[in-house]
Amino acid sequence: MSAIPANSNVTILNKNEKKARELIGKLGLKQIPGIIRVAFRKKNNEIIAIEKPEVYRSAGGNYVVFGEPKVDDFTQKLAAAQQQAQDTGILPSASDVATKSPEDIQADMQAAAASGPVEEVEEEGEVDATGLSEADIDLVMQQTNTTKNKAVKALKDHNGDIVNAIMSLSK
Amino acid sequence: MSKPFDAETADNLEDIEKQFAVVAVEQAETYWNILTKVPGSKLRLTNIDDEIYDTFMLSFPEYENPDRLKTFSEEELKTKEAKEKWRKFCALFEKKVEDYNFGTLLRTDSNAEYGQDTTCFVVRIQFYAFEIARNRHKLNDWIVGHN
Repeated sequence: MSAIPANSNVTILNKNEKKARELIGKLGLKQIPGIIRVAFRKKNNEIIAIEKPEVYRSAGGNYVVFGEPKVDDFTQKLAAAQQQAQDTGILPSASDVATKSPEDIQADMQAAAASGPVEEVEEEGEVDATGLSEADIDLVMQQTNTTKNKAVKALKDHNGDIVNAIMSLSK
Repeated sequence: MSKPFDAETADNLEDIEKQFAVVAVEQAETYWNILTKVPGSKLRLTNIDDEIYDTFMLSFPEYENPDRLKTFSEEELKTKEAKEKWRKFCALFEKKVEDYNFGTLLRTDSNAEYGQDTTCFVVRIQFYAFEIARNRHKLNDWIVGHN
């Protein structure tokens, strides 16, 4: 177990993780937006936290979390924060530290989840369909009831693979 | 979980495994739906159908015989020699075909629908090889209008 120490700022995106991300990305897992931190607390109160994680949920209720786990030395952080607060002359009052009840936090998360990902803005005008056959585009449009632009984009994204293009649009 | 995620040593989570099966079934359904609308002989699956077909015929001349394309047995793909040949075949398309190694359902009989006994599990490039060849021999054209 070698965790990345607190306050370090390194990005490891090794080949395996990249592969795993690609594979898992294609499984149709649902990304849960609005989660800013995933923390694992170990028996000895050591906290390993992932800041700004990407969290995906499968239909069965399992979670896949991507991100950089770091040992979160809470006491150290708190001390640093207090020091800083003292330096600037504004000590946080106790109420600032815990203004949110668990219910509030849950409500916030639900609201964030409900708002969902931002709808992709439909591009204006005709998209460039060079290299694609008209018949393929029509087929994708028929099968998925989408606009020509979306069909063209899906076909391009999937290198002209019709089955994959249709699948990506019918999710 | 203090280590970065390592696909090589990660456990197989049953639920995630099932998710792969879901994708395979979706792919099969989508392909079937297309075949009910468009005759296979007019269908293009990838941008490099010709290349896949030619390489398939070159590597596996036994499948020049349409009868062998029509029906095959799962065993003939999984003998030691066949596996080795297929591995080489797969490697040729590693960079060219999206999801070339994704688990995919392939009908063992082009005269049958996807069914419990008429389907086997292959990788995507094997699916392309067989289905492109079947489509060229018009073996899938009967599916149009079929539900």
